[in-house]
Amino acid sequence: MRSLSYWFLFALLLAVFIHILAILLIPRFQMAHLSDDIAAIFPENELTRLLDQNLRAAPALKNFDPNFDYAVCRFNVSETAMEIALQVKSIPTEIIIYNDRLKPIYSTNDKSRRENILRVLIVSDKHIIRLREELPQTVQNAQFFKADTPTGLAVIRLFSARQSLSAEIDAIFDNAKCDPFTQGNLQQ
Amino acid sequence: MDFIPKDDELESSLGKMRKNNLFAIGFSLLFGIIFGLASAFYLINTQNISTAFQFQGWQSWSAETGSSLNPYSWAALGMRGEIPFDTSTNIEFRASVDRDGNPLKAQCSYQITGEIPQSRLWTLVSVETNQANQLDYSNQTYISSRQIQFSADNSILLAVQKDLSAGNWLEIKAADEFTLILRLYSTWLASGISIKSQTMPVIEKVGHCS
Repeated sequence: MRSLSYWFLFALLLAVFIHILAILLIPRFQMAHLSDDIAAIFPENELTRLLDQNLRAAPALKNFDPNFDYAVCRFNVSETAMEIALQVKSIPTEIIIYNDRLKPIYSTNDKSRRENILRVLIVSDKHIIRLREELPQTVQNAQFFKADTPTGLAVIRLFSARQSLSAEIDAIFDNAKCDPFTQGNLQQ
Repeated sequence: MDFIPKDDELESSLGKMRKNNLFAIGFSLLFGIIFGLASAFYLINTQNISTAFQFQGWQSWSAETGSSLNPYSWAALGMRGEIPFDTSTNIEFRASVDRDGNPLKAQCSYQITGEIPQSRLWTLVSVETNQANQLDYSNQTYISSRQIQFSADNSILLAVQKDLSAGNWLEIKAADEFTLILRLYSTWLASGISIKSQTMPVIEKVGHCS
């Protein structure tokens, strides 16, 4: 009887262990899987607008709010910093940065724009050291964000529920950039 | 010397012990694995633990925790295969049931009344509750605070139904059960301030279902 209760206790402890393991591992594997899906669709260091076609190809993005227009940029700051910049005026606009495990780690919106430009520089540790030595003139008004992983995803969204805004939104996305930043001493 | 068991008796009792132990190990392993996995998947799917805020049908994974999602919420998102909604300044609420706890059905008409917590902008989206149909964007319908007429006291009255309605109207295109997703953008609620003191709009069924 005593040994039976020991085995029962062992079974319960094992159940708790398996429970915790499942809760912790499911998001890790699923998010890695989603990240691979996104990597297969969207090129690195390039801003891609989410039109219906590629939205359907990326089920991971299915819960994006249809009241907004989106563009996605996969970044990699292991070599160079990344600059995301867009001209914004009155349309509610947000830039959200996800790490490689698709966890939202930073977001900013049009209220933080300077001279009608919303500019974010995604950097790594080594870029910060160089930026402290010399800050290029062009990014003096930028928001700096140190990514916790070298790769990730930047999502730009513009409120588009009004049809009258579509021309303005097209113009903003056409002129937006998500490019490696190689000015000053950030060239290497 | 008959207290010393014979070789064959010893052999047989040892065999019995081994058999019992093997059975106990097998049963414990099986019970542990099945019960551990089943409880994990049950909690992820029902989202009772993972849902921090529940009020008259609305639920939110982030309302009480600000930017940090708990492991159950992460697992639930993972199971659904969705990128998390950014919660640093925004909050997402979902409702699949009305104020009485009945599933929202496309065959019925609903009315959303009351005040929506303060934000710069809010949007309301209806999607199929059935996960498999959620990628069919033609079934999604949506409206935002910029298209709504508010009452003098800042409350709203919004009809949610298939048929055209006068005033504020969110059309439903889902085939059967649907979920409403209310997203508040740039809201102070996302700063972690308790939402419990807030009122949420009420979803009420109106009339009979077709």
